[in-house]
Amino acid sequence: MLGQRNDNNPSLELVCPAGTPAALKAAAEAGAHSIYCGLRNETNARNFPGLNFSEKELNAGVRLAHKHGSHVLVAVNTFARAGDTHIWKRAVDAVVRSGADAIIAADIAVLDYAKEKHPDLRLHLSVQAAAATPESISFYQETFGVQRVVLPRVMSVEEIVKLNKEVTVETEVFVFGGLCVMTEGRCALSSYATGKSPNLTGVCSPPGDVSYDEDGSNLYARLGGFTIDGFGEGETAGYPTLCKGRFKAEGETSYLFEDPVSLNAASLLPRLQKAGVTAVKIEGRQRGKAYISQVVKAFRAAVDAMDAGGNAEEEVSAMLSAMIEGGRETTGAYKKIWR
Amino acid sequence: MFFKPDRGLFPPALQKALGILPVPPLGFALTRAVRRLARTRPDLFDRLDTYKRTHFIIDPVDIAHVFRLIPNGEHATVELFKRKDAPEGAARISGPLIVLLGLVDGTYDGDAVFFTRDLVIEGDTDAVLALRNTMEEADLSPAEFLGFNGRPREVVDGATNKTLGHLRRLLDAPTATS
Repeated sequence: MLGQRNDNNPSLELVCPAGTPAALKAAAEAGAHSIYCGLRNETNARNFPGLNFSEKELNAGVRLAHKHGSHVLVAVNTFARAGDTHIWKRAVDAVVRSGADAIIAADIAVLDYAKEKHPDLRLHLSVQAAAATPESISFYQETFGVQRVVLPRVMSVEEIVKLNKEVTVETEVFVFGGLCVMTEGRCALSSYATGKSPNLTGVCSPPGDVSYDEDGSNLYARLGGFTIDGFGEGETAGYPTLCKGRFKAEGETSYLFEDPVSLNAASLLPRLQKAGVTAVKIEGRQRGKAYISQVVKAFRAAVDAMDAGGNAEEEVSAMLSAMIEGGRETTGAYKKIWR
Repeated sequence: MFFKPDRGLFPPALQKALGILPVPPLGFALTRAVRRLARTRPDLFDRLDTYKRTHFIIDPVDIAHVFRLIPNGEHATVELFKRKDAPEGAARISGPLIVLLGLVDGTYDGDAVFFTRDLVIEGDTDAVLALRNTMEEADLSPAEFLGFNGRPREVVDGATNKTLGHLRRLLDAPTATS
């Protein structure tokens, strides 16, 4: 199914996360068409303690996924350091050896190495590359032979419709999970607060810089010593990412950039399909296997229902309402009317 | 109903009863179980990386004891302390016992119960995350953790899952993720 979507086969491909081999197994068993994961080092944008795959685990994971009919896409999507590119090269080679179906990359150095050394390897352009215009996408397609682009979460459905008419590569969009409201690959908020970069070392709001402090019944979430949010008794907590913090400006306390909500675009699946999107992606490599299993099952049911001419939106929302950050959800930029 | 269930917390009478748990034998049994796991699945402990030597304080808020876990592979230890004698650890994970058990067997997603504040994390968040991701990968059933195999494992897991499921409903614990 990977890359086979066409007028005769309009099914959306469901791309699901796996931070551990157990999560990969859960995603495959729950019906993921494709599963994305990363190696246990700084070559991928979810470089968190205890997460990701050793090369041996990746090899076994690919075998298991293929047995279930799922494809495996491996993220090598951070930007290689000048003078120290061997980690990224080794990661690309390891992906090829594992038999994975595609690599997800953002850095032109990584893309170039993959194209030159492994010309048969399928290349997907990571959301970290922030390619959202026909010109930039064409550059990656013509220069490196990229076959799919993961679009930034800042585009409206209308913009995706327009873009898909102007490009010939497949497009993939996020439909559920954590919502990055910035243009990925270009955000330096976390770097400012912690000195560590999501784009270079794969850690946005690294947990080592996070602290949760209780004061009476209040809970304060801090990042790099900065208080990002406070939660009263009974109030649902959130992870202290700067873009979802509550700050005081001009005498008013509010979520300046974005509310701590999760993306749920289940209701937009038919429109995204009509917009020519090839694949829909669930965020959450850092989430547990129970979460992965339930979310994947819900979205697989939704995609299958659409194929059968139905709409499973209500079922998806009911199944997933307890699992979202802040307990609230949004359709994100897909329905935004401002710019 | 003779008590008001509250997010999985044991009723006060049961909390008191659990206070007379035989502490040293339980710590010994849990230490043996973790070391057995390290022998059979060494890859699992590689996932902890430098956090193998971290002192984790696991605090079931509705019983009288806290656990100190040092998950150092075949040298791992689990000790129980009366709450008033509990040592300082590098990281502390607190919540109702039924929620903590649910994290071990995969009933609950750590993030979900953290966001709903059924789980409290203090101290070294990196270490907690490494432990949480390792537990996720372990995919442990209660019987596997205790060293049962074959048919006895199925029987013990079946009975334990049924009992815990019943307890979660009785105690109005958070909704299971799985």
